[in-house]
Amino acid sequence: MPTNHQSLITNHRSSVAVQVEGATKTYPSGLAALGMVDVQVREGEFVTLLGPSGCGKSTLLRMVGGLLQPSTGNVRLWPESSHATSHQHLAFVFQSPTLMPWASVERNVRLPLDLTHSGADTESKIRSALELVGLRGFRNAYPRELSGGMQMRVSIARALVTEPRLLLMDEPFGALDEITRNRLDREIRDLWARRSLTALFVTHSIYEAVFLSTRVLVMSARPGRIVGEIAVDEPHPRTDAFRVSERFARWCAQLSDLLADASGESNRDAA
Amino acid sequence: MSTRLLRYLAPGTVGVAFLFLWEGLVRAFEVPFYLVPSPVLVLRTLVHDAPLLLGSLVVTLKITVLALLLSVVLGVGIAFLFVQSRTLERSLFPYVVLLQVTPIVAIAPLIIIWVKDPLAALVICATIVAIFPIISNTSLGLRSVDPGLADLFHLYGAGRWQTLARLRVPSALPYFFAGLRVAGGLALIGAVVAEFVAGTGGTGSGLAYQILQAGLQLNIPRLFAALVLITLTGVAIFLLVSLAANLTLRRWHESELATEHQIR
Repeated sequence: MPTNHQSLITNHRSSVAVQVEGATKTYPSGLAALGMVDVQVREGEFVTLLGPSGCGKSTLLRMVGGLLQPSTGNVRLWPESSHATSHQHLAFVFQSPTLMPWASVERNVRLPLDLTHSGADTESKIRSALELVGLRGFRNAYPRELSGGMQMRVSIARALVTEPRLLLMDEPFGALDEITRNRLDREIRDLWARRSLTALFVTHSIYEAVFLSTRVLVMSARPGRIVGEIAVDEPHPRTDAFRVSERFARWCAQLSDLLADASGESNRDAA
Repeated sequence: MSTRLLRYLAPGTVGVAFLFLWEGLVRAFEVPFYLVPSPVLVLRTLVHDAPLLLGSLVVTLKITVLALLLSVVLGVGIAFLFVQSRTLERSLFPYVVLLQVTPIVAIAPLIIIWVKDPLAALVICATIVAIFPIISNTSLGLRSVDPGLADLFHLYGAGRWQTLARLRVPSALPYFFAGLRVAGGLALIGAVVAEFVAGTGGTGSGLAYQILQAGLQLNIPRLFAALVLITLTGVAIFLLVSLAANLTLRRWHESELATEHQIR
């Protein structure tokens, strides 16, 4: 698989996009959401945080997005880059579509451009973002008029409209049916490949993690720590055939074992 | 029968039946008109006294509309201030409540003494009555922001004003309109009560003054006619506010959406 080797090599050479060092999160109530975590994501990677619910993977993602401050340690984006990172380089897709119900699809997608005052080519940016998610004909629809899957596409279009370099996704398709979820997974995967994005994705689905990622970080139950890491050494584009292949099953089994080990370990800790 | 037709036909039938019953009872028992006038007499008085009553209606309407506008401007402004600072809200909100629970009848005489211009005095009284639901509903609405959207605005570095204009204000609209619907009725009540307290006659007197005078002169049909005008005014204000709410919210808010089925 020459293409894949090549991509791995470039990954090693490419610069660091996300650097998390010794980050922990303890809430004022005393709840320890996140143990000591170190994560490095290189530009062009698709990294997935996989773990049981309540393991702090969303907490970690929100820290990377700057929505939460770590209790200790630090989070840096593009630490090697000299110029300050700006909001335009980062986008976040939440668990729910989080659209403004009072605004049309177009105005929802336009929002990040308005907020960051990126005035140039607004029209063409919105058009191409909507085209990417296949919602060109729905500019004037209101969120309420769309299905859950379409609302999520609007949310993705909104994230992509600023042409971010880093895309953070917090279980974006968790609430969708499996058919829609698989389709959107495929689309996200294509977008990532075409746009040379860096992606950090949170999920509790092993299948989703294997299908999407170049690298999966497995987290233990609360307080979350990273207990294992698997590089999913598979070429792109990954097709639906890959989903039913023996190799796919083997990756899933590996991750499943890691997860089982993680929960076993935390059980011993508790005892 | 379509539900739409039923919506108007059902209360309409009740109303007409009630009027017929009223007319019938008054005639059957030969109730004197200075106790209970018949609907027909009230209508005839309404037509006959139209010049006098409509002039008064304009006065009352003017007070009501000015008070409602003032309530909206001041109430929304105060709500904006409250949302910008919790400390400010904590310090001032008890006094807003104080103003709300103090009966207007008790403070109206003071205001009428303090404020020279009678129209201004009456508008202030009516505003005091109407402003509370605007303040409380709007500030609740401005705070009822989807936390996910708040995160999104934070993520893109939105400033205080951007957040207010693009996130807080639209989120507050349904709450604001619910408050406005209550405030509309209260402005009218406040105007009428203040007029009662002011009590003075002259050319610039409103419907409450006509009711007061008619009562003293035992001109009960005119009293009823004035009452009918006040009621119709209240209904008209309610309908106008509801229409405004519907036009603003119908594309996105649950309260104004047509549902396929009835929620039980």
